[in-house]
Amino acid sequence: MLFNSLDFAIFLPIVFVIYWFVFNKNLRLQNLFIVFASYVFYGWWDWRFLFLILFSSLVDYVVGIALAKQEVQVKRKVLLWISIVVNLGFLGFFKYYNFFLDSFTTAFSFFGTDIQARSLSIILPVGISFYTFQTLSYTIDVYKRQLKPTKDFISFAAFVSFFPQLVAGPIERASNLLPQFYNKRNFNSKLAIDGFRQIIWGLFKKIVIADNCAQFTNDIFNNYTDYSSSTLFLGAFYFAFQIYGDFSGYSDIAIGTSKLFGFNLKQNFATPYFSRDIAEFWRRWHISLSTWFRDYVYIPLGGSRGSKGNQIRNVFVIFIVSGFWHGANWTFVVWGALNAIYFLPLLLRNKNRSHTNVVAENRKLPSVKEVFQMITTFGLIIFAWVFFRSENVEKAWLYLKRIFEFSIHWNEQLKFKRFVFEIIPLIGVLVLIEWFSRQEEHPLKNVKYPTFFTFFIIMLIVVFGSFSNIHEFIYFQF
Amino acid sequence: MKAFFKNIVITLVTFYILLFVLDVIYTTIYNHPIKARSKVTWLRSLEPNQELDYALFGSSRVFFHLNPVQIKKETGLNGINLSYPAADNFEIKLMVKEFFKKHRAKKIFVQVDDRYNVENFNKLAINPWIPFIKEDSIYNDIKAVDSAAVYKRYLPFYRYMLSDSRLGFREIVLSFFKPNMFEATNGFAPMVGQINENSKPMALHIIDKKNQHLETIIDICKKEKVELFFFTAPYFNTQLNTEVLKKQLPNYHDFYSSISDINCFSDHLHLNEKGAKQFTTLFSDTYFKN
Repeated sequence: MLFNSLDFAIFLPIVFVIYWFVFNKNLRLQNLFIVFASYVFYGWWDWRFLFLILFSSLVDYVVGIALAKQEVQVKRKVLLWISIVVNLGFLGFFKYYNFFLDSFTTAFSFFGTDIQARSLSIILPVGISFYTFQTLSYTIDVYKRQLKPTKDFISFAAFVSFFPQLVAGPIERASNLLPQFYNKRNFNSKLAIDGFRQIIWGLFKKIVIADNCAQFTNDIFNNYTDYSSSTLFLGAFYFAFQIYGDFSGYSDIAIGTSKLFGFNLKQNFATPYFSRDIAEFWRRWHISLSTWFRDYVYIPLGGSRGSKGNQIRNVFVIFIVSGFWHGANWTFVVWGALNAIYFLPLLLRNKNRSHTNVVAENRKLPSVKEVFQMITTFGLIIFAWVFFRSENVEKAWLYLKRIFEFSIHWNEQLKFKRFVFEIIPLIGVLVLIEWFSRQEEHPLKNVKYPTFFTFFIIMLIVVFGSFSNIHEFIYFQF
Repeated sequence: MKAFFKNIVITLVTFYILLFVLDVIYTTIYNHPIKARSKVTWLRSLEPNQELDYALFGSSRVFFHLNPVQIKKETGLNGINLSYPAADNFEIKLMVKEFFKKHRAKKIFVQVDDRYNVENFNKLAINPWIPFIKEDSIYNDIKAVDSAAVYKRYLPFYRYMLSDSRLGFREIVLSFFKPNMFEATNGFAPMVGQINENSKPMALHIIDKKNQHLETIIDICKKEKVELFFFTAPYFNTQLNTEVLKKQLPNYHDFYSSISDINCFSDHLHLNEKGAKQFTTLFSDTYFKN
């Protein structure tokens, strides 16, 4: 079920009314209803994958309780590894089996050995990368004794499958979300209204920005050999806003929907394109995944401590693994490695935490230096996005090569005049609104005339939204 | 809870009002365009009660092929080309019906081809009709082929949202200053380019059965007491069993293989400017000079 679909527009009010008016007296029933609604939401794609999520929930629930009872370190480790193997096993099988198979056969044939291996036609369960990481974080936290395991399976199942963030995050930590299932939730109008407005803002980013950009991005990337440098650059530029609008829009809808049910999720995007360097970008882009990798991969590896060699290794490991998390394709690995290369100079000069505050804090406009920093960082990000978007590394490379031929055919741009007259101003509106609200969780929060501003955004959605070309959220495939 | 519901209700009511107002604005602009950009709005904005010698209907294979200005020069007859790209039999029927609401012609020409068996509406070609779906005559026809017609008619602005890339804000803005490319030539626009010499031959096939929309057109013309002619425009290097059309349709003429010069074609289905000139002469010689 897509957030921007009629199905969800019917599903959400029904669930909302039953949740607050039928089960509001009984917390357990309310949580059970969340599990039921979440399973309906997830089963809408393919009911068969419900068994997967149920099994994953059961394993981690049982492992969590067993970990609490177990004092012998070796046995505790075994329990942890059971959870890791089961969860990553599913992920590995569904997401990476064919990729590894293809890579191995290609590698062996390169050395003259032909291996006959049969790839499987596997459907990737929607959101498996997200809920796997969410449930894994629970087990690891329990193992580290940073979190008490839950004995309430319904709450745990609700935590794993909570429908607003089930299929594309934010990847919530058990320490933040799970306790919210233990306590009675009273309806908070202020929170719900804020959630409703955040949903509107998310829909604007998805339907107006992402889906409009997608039409041009797809055309340009699919036919990149037909276009000149200027158009290919525009293609990469559109994609930067497509993926931002798509993913951060999804996160806003997810967080906003959670607020309607009395839950607070962590912020997942914080105006990342206003970042002054790559380190800041990664503190503002897909925050829940970045912090997950930081806490469960980077820091256990030693983080930024130890020798320079170890630091460099750790940076490459975290970025490449993060890239690989996005998909079974070398393009994501290269994308991750590129970001590691961008990040390294900052780390080696101890400048990776230079910009922890928001840009131009307490000022309306940025300084010339900040503008230069933002443009440079954005340029690097666009360059890396080409790998992220391309079908394979070779095509990405050719795409970039054509960009750097610096050929400009203005006649060609006429084909994309809609971009100039319609999409560019809309991107301008997005950038302006985000700039002036960059210290807020979302632009419709704490704005001077919230009702009026909400209507303005609704009007933009209605008039400029791409309804004839509805695209699935990009991150569903991850 | 009260505050939340109050907020939601206010938002929904304002949302509905917004949709309603936008619907009225868009529909008014399509009904009274400063520049008529589609064939449908153009036809509707023409001076009423025109008495023409002929009217041409069809898809891009008429739009790009037959030039009424050239026919006028060659024969002195006044005509109009009311075809438009992607139009299938259903949209052609709508166009014929719309034409007879306010105008008359002595002869009606309808182009038929490999799309002869299509009974459905065309997702692209239906768009110019959508702004006028609130008119009963158009609604009843669309309802018969499109199950979503009821929503398009009664949910304000829904139809413009669904067709945002064709009927949306951009089209509305352009209707204020950007004219269409066919008005000066009474509905004709030439196609540029030339077919690749290495293009492979095509084989198309039609099934031998009647088409309900074309049958309706035959009935309309009988009722209006107007001569109706069906024809097939030229193809390049394409096989088509046009004998079916000859069998099923009255007054049918086959131009299917009448032009074979590769320099006259833009692609397998379309003549270029040179080809259109040649075909227009052939067409007027066939129908108007005997």
